[in-house]
Amino acid sequence: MAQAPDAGTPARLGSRLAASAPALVLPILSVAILLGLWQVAPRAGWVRATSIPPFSEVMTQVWALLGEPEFWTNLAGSAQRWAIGFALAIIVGVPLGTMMGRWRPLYRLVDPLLVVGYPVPKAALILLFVLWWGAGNASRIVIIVAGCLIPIVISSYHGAHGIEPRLLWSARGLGTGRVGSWFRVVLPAALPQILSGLRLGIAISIFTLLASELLIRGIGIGSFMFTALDNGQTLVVFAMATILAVIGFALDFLYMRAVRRWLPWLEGDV
Amino acid sequence: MRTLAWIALRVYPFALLLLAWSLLSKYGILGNQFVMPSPGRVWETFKALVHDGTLGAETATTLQRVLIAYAMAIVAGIVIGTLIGRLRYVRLALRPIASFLFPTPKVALYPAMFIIFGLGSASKIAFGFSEALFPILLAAAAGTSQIEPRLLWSAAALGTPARAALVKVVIPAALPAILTGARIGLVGAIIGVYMGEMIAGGDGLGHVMADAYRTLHTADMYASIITISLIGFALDRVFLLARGWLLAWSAEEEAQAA
Repeated sequence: MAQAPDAGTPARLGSRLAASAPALVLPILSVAILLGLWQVAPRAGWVRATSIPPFSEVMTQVWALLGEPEFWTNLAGSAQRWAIGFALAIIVGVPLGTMMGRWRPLYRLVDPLLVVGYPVPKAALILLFVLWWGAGNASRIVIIVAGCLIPIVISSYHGAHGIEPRLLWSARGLGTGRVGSWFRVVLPAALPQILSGLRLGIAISIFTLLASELLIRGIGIGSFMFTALDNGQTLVVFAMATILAVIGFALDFLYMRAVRRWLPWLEGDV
Repeated sequence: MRTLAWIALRVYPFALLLLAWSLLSKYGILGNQFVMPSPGRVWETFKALVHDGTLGAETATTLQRVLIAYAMAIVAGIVIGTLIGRLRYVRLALRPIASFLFPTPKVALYPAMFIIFGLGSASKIAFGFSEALFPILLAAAAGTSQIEPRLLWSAAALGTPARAALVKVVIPAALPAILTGARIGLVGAIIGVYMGEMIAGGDGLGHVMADAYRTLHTADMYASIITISLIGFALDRVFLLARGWLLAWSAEEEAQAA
């Protein structure tokens, strides 16, 4: 705000507008060009309309889907399992990760397992889970936990590991017990890292959710979309892809907004 | 003593997994021998699959797709990311699109990509590419936008043209950041290709998995998922070696090695 006093003179104002005009115009322009191409290319025959339907038709289909109860039943089924799985991953992952950060033997014990588990394509495990536990909710929830547990544990570990030892000494010196200092010192100090791990976890668990639903069909939004693909409903496929892309983006956006709003002192760290 | 401990730590996770697996299988905790075959039986299956040439051929197919997808993602990610990081107009134009697509689950676009690219290799490479691209692109954009201006001034003072400085100064200086994104992208490429092969089969390790599930050759399922995980593990190790070699000059790498 240091330039505020001279910003009011007409010449300055003009040059500032000129400088910020691209900042306003370019983002809108590029998105408009992209959507325009999506609209025009199938109409003009540059791509086959049966493989890429024009933007306007996809939007009409989106609107129609949003009015279908079947869509909402499937979405609710997925959302419920996702919420339970993600909550379980937090309940297990955050305590495990932070304890690994503060207690070396536990780290040495668990870390090699994470290294081995990291490259396993988790979504594919759904087929094994179905063999073990059947195609019910148990398999579908465990797969979400499996999908996002490792990033949550690793980020919690890094958060807890990087704590200034003095913070803990002070707490202990002031008579705070082990459990008390875990809640009052370790957890708050590790919070920025934990929260960025959760952000990663959201993205990965949505991937796992959709990918596992596509392999094992049932009530679920991923199954709904892939059944449309099997039935050759191209328009529904594109409409569902648009809706799911927006949901994925919105979850990330809302998560970041919530963190900034309720934990403003962490800005920039997450 | 230190090397012994080092080896023990590397061997222990595999030993523990094998032990847990044997016990689960022996006592039928997750199901009978059919649902949860013993490690020994999976090993026999594994040898049989290697012997009749299936595993080698399918692994080669998958590996080839992964490497093509990953190479394309690295080139596109570094080029677009560097343009976003260094040029204000490109950044303004592409940022809304990149920041929308980054957190979006790419799997939501798989069916649309099947329709566009068909059911062959192209769509599977497209999946791997889409999973790998964004971590690399964002890391390149962030890395190249935070270069010390002094490095560029020195290069300019020594007569390096701006374009040459992009290749000689900007990308090397951003390399540590780019490689961090590239390591995440590698696993993305593997998972994207494998999932694609599972969904619309024909060939590849993912097809072995999905096909074994349909035909109830359960031991083959374990062989497939273990093979793809080992590939992921091995490629990640190779990546770390390459990174050490590429970044031998940087302080960060020296600190890690020490």
